[in-house]
Amino acid sequence: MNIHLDIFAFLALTIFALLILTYVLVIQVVVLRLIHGYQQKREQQFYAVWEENIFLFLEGDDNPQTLIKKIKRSKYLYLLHYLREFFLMLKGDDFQKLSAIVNKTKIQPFLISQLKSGSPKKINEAAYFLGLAKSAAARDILRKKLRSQNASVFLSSALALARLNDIDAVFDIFRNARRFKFVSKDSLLAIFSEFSDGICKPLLVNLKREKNILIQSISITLFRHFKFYNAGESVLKIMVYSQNKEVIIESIKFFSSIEFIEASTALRSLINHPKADVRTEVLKALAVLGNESFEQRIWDCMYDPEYEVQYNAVITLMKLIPGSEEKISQFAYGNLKDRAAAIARMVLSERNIRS
Amino acid sequence: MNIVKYIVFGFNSLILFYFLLVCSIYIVLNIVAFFKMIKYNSTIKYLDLKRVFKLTNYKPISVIVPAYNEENGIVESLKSLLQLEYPDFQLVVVNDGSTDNTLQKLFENFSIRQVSFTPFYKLKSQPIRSVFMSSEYPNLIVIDKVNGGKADAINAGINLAKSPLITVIDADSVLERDCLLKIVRPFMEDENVIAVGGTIRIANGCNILHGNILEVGLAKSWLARFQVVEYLRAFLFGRNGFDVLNGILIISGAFSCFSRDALIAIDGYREGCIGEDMEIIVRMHRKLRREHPKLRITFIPDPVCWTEAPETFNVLRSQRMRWQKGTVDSILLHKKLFMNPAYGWIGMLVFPYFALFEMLGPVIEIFGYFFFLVSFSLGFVTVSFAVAFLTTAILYGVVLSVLSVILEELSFQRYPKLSQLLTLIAAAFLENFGYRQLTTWWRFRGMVEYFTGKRHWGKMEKKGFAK
Repeated sequence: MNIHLDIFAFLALTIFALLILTYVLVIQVVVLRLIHGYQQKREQQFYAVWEENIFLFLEGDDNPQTLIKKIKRSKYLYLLHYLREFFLMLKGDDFQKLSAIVNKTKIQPFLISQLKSGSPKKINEAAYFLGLAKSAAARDILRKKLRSQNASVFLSSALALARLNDIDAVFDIFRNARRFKFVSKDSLLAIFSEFSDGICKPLLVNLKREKNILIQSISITLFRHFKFYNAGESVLKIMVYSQNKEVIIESIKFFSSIEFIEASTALRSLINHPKADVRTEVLKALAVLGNESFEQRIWDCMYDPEYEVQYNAVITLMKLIPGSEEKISQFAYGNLKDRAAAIARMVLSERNIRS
Repeated sequence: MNIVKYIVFGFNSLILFYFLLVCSIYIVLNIVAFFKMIKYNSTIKYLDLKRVFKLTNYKPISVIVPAYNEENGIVESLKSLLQLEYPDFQLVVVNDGSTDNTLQKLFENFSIRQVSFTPFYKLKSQPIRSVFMSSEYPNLIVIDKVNGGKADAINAGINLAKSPLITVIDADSVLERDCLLKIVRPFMEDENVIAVGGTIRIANGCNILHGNILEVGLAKSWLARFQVVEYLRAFLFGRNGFDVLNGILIISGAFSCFSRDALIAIDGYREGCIGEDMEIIVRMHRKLRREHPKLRITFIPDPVCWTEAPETFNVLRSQRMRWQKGTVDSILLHKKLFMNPAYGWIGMLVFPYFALFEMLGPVIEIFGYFFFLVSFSLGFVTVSFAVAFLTTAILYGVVLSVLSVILEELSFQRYPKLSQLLTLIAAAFLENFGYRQLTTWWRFRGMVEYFTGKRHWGKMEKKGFAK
């Protein structure tokens, strides 16, 4: 009976606690919504008032300080959010004028103070807008933030430095990225692609002595992105000796994109690489870099065990060898039970529909 | 009499312990999900998704759409899907032996013509009759095959898909335009990711035109509103919470994305399976993660897909019974995972949780009600105690539901009007008075049917999005 009473007391207490908790939670949801609604309303009011002013500023020759003087410090972020898409779209003189709104007004010290704060949320926000506006004044603080233990602070600082085109920070970014488990190659590429093509020269100098596979692979991808022809010879040397699939594939894609004919002999030896993705990439590149002397090797690839290789062999043959379509057609429809012929038939009929 | 009393008291104590355990787990999941959502929001806020892909380092995606008797909605769905924002994707529609005019509709609207084909992979599926390509939309492929069910149709689609990532969706799903950009992000951020799920939301009450959500709204029927709260609870704290342990055991079949190599490695979807969406994820954990523990199956909390919820008791009953059969099926098929330390958190925590609370939950709850009634009628439990216990259980349910509404409020706020929010809070209260007990009863019946051999899918009727 005592146990029963104890449980009853426990339940009664629990009910009391749950009732209070439910009440608090419901109030919290409603308060959150009201706060959000209020903020949105203020934002809308701000836009309604300032939309015209901002467009007039962009069209005219006014001093940005005159415009910003009228805006309260508490509303700077509204303005920045409003300008976000413009920062991403505009170029040339328009961009300069837009960035002056941040760089030549009180907004810059405001953002820098946010950047110096201890809150990752504020730091990320400030770094984002300082990067968008290419605020050189934030460079040193951003470099210090690369050493942050917080991955999101590291990433937002690195992105801002990339947008500032701070090429001296490139290797600092690489070094610090290694500290984080979840900073992937693709995340780094997204950051590095924000630099100008000036990033290629230091990357090339570094590549000649670089042993780290991730840095090799990212450097080569960036050479492709910026079509940096001067890196051709060095990348070729790396590809020939590399055992890493990623590095080899990136190198092949790079040669193809800059039409680096000198790589065609090296590609010939990779046509029998044990990895199917490498063989596929070689075939795609040969469609650009190859010549008629490759024809037999490519025909052989149509009997590869992997479909991607077979499929690309047919496409490469059609692109590389003039008049090969008839020969492929004869092969495709003359060997009805052959898998290679079936793949050829598929490519031909797809091509037929697309044309 | 004393023995009966001790048995009943023992069972009641067991139920109380079970209740406290499940409450504690839910609280932990909620706390974990709360912090994860805050972190996720700060990460996603300043990410310029479209700029991330300017380096042509994106991974091509094949979107597989299994379709069976979808003549009413297939054209609208595909037109909407063809407008998804992604630089390189292929749409593979699998007509799974439809007996209506699905294929005819595709002929009429997409200028499809037959092409020669060879399956690239050898996943088991019913024979493919023909493959078509569209001359108007170069990225549209239609496969016409002998009927074999959803899993079979997806396997046929994978066999002909060319991209390294495979997204599987339901033909009647309404997708967010940037869903592919969002779902591919985990694959880009972490090379070990093999599967990603996204949050599914209820489309009833939304203003939908040509397969696009124009305005988010709440359904007029309370049955659908209860399901909105249920989905928020399942996705925002359930899956988010388990994701921290790399312990996602189910990704919704309405929208999921996989690495093709992972799908091929486990021989694709299992034919004849009732809950194929759960079974494939459990199998990925079992077959792939044991050898490669670093592999990840993850989840993004962004709402990426909207689906129609049943608005009649019959259809809802059929759906819940099927879901329960699917859960039981997947758990029994992979029972080797249970308390198996070789599988880490999955074996020692997540799988046992699913077995004890998701699979056996309805049975324990129904027996709990039964013993409670017995105790009450035999006078072992006083009225005040009975009322106190039931009140606690119901209030706890309310707290959990309101917490998920808070998570939604902190993150995506997809229901913009205050009246909608208040309706959701009301639904979070009311669903605990009858609706939850009813779904528990249906799940219990689902289990009974499973063990008595009735393992068919049941009929699932949908009204469709009229506009």
